[in-house]
Amino acid sequence: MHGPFFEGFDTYDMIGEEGKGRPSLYAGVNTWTWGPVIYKSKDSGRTWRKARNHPRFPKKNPYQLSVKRIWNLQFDKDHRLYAGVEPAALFVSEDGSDSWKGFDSLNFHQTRKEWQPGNGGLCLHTIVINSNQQNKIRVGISAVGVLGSDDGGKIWKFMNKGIRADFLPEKYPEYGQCVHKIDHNSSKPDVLYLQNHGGVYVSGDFGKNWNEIGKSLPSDFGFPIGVHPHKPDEVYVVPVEAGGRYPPNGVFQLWVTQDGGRSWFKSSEGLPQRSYFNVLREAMATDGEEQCGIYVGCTNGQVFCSTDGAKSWQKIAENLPRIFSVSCIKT
Amino acid sequence: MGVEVFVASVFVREFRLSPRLTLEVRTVKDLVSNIEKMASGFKDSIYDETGRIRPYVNLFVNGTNIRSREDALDTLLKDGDLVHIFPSVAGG
Repeated sequence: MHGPFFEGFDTYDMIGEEGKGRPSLYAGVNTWTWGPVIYKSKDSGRTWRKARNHPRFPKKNPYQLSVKRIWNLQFDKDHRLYAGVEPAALFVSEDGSDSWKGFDSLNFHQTRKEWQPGNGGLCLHTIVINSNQQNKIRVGISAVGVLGSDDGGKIWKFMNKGIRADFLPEKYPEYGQCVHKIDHNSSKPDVLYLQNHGGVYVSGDFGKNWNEIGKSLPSDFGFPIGVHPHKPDEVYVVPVEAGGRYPPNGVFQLWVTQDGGRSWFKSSEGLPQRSYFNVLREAMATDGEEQCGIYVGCTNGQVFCSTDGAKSWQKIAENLPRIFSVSCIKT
Repeated sequence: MGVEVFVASVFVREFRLSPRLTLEVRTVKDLVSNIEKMASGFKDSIYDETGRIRPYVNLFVNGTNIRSREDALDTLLKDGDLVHIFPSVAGG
């Protein structure tokens, strides 16, 4: 184990850029002194240096916005690095964080004045890029919902058809949903799975329509959602109580579907039975190996791993601080 | 003679600055820009993209914290002034 790095600051997401040789790592570090910044590592995380530039709004912007936190980082196949930030906005860098450009038509969207924050703030926490058509981008914003662009980010439309917003007078509004996380498998690029503030959903048309698939789960609330990297119909969620944000009945459990959400089974062998912690939205990862490893990091500083398709779990780390993000990077 | 600037250790470490600088500057904004030339990224760490001083940064001019002033960055400086740049003590 290496580190700690960025001591005293929150790292909400870290990713690796795969390519020749060792991957470059990028971390979104939310410092309380000098703002949210990107750090880079070229030696598998042993040493880090601050990037030349960071996602920032233009100086004169219509809402006087300034970036408070970096929530999500994502690469596309052309090595463009996308960053989702708080207050909700999307940026892209084409030069490894030497410079950044904002998606102004999203960031200063005509409805922006109506956008409401979720409990964690008004954050753009999820970026999904279609693996077949990179000009198709979907983002998740709490508590605005899903927005999508099919032209590389010029025009953005709400894509919340079928997603509930139980906390609003109108249960299926155009926007205002509190989406928590979206994931997909690149072999089925148009199929998205979504953990919402209320309910788990699937879309077969890259977000244009959604169907609820999690009605048999013990709670419709949770944060992360993960899709098996080789089995596109195998999906993992971590239900928690909406109020206390701990596992149902205090028993830590993942739930797994292997048929795209038609049926679910509970996975808890090896997981602690009395548990009053949470798993945050970036704290689930899969490693992409043949016998795929699944990893979850908990807010109590424990990390669990399964290498048998979520049949059983082993604790692989403990006594860490609150875990925001788990990433698997092949070095 | 110039303006005397004292920089807190957290910034000294991050930007490899000298903890004490003497600068020929006319405003706080000039002062930050001047340090930016020595330490890339320093300006971004002191104020955000709209020009607001970051919430946990304190700038004292001759002992007065100017962070809450709307025109803080335009604060005039003269030879012999003392400027302290400190992060807030936060967390406890």
